[in-house]
Amino acid sequence: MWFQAILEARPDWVGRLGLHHGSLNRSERDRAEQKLRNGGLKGVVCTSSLDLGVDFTPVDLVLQIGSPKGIARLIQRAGRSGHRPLETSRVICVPTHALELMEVAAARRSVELGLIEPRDPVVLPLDLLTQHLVSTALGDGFYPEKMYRELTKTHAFQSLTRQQFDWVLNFVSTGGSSLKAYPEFRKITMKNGRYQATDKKIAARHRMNIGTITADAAILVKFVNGRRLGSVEERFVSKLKRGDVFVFAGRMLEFVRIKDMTLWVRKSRSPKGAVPQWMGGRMPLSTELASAVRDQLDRAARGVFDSPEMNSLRPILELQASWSLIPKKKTLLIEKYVSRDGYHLFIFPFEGHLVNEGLGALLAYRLTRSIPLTLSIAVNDYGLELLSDREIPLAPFEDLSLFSTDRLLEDILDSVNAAEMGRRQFREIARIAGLVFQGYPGRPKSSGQIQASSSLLYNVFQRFEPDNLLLEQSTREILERQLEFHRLDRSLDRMARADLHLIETEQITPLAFPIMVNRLRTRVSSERLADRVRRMLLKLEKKANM
Amino acid sequence: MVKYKEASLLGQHLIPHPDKTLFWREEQLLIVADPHFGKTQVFRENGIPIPGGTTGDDLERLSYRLDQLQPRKLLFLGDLMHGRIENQTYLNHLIDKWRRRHKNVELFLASGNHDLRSGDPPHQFQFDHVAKEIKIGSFVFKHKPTFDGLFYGFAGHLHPAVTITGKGGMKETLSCFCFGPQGALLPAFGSFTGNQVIRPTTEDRVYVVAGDEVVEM
Repeated sequence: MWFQAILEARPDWVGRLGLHHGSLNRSERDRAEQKLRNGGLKGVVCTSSLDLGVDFTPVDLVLQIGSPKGIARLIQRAGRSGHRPLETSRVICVPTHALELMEVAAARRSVELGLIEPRDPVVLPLDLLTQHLVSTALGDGFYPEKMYRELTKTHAFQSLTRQQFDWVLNFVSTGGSSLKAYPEFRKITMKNGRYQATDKKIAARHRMNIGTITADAAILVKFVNGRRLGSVEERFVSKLKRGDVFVFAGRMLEFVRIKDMTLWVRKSRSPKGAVPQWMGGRMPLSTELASAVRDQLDRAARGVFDSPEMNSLRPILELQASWSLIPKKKTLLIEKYVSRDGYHLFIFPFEGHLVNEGLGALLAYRLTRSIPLTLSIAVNDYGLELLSDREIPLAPFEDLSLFSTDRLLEDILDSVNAAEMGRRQFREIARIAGLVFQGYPGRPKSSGQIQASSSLLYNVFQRFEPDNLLLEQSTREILERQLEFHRLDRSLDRMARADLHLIETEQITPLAFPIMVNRLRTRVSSERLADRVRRMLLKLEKKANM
Repeated sequence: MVKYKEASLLGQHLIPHPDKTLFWREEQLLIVADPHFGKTQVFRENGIPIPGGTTGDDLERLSYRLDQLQPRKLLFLGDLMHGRIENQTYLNHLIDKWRRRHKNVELFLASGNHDLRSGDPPHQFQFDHVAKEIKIGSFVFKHKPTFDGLFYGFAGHLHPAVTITGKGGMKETLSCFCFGPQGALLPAFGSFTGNQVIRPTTEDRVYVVAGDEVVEM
């Protein structure tokens, strides 16, 4: 999209503007990298695909589109510019919506003050370990003792117990207890003490499955003359039909036909087209940046607008103040709003969307514990929404019982189950561990016989193998990475001590609106499914006239 | 005992159950679509480590319904076995035990596409009738929902589900029974099966499986 827009504004840059992102074919990306290295490009439009690992000469300027979401990230990207030693790096932030101005102002202030996030690497990703073992077995093979010693030298696996390692080894060689009776299907086998993978089918499947980020099936995009461009998600393609035009790989493409897992396209002259979206995970606002944003709002609440960004944002923030209020650092703002969709409660902890998600699930769980209630939860980096078709009790907010840190760990564990977060997390883990197969791009998924959604698999594991370590990993990852217990604890504590302002608003405020329109929702309910269903409707289609 | 709502169709009474079975009162016939027995074993035999237990569970659920209703007949609407299985011993044993428990039930199979690939059904089932289409009374039973309008049909194959919505952001996709003007679609009985969302019209009557109840929409 940006690529098209830039070319429109600067048509003389045709051939000198590069494009680089994860879903482009390797050859397309290589071309862009090569041109970048030998100075043949005026600029390159890219995603985090160019953040790490690619060596190129420093550029003159980096344009950060949208919020960097983290201070370290901003600095790292800015660092790609600056030709000579001691020359300052230049980065210009380009917000994509008004509220991002706050984040930019906050990020700049943090850089000035030298406040950067500490690094937080992954711990004990067992699903990655299964991939690693199979990959190594496909190569030179490995000796289990040596492998274990190597692993424990890394940060991610320094706490890996021998028992856990043996479990994973067992899982990839014999399929655990499930595959004991099928010796012919071992992924990797031992010969003279060394593990090696021998089955070609398994090798091919493994190579196809590793390293992709998308969670949806990949549809290969090809020109009718056979040239490959890259891949898009199945979800996007399912909305298109013959003749539709979309933007991809820097070109306008027309949908010619789709067969199996390949979308055939031809160049289109149309000036407009649909833009593919990828459902990859979005970086949450880091704790540090979130805190800096709260600082900015605090100043705005006191009438201090001392940066160009905050001055641009002023009209919107003044609107927020007139319909509700601008939260100060010591304020906990809760907005209540009634619409056609039901009863909304907007709560603004400003902790980044992962922690807000944890808070949302926790609060929803605590609310639904004592009365039959169904809540739909949506979050963004600033806050969360609780939505119900019935009135949500406000007393637990006002008496602060909702924010209690008593029995916090137990309640968090229960809320994770109530919001089915483990099930969602298991999706990625199942794919990485090779239980769910993405399909070869361009070829149909191998026999529908062994196709199953991760949700079905989750059910079977829960019922018949609840101690499966991949299941445990789902829960653990949710708790450790997404919920960050310490952050939740501190956050609740802060909310309990804050000045609570509960405001019933007549309009959806600027802070509430972006959360309300969020499509990704979680649900927590203490009602029986049948009771909920009785309040729901099935829309029937009109029968088509023959 | 729980009383389930009846649907009346051409003067007959049909009762959909939350375990996805359908009971035809007049004929004392229990209808079960798409069991896909042995599915997790097919996965295991293809190298995907999934624990067993599903088929045993499903047969147990079916036994529960059979014990409760004591029907004269039981009819499977295709996709009885999920696929070809190499090591049939344990599965055959389960089926044998199950059949002995219900040896007086007249057993029918309307065979479908999976059945073709899986080969003959294990003889431990001891089917009384196996055919692509089975006609009982004025109803016809088959696997795929190709209804020609001559007789009212009952079919599986699609694993039908519908998406329903409500205020407060409520949204559910649930397995369903769909009674159309020419034929009915039954949900898949097998617990390790996926669903396909269908778009019923104003001429259809839809009953969704909502946990432990069936709710008419």
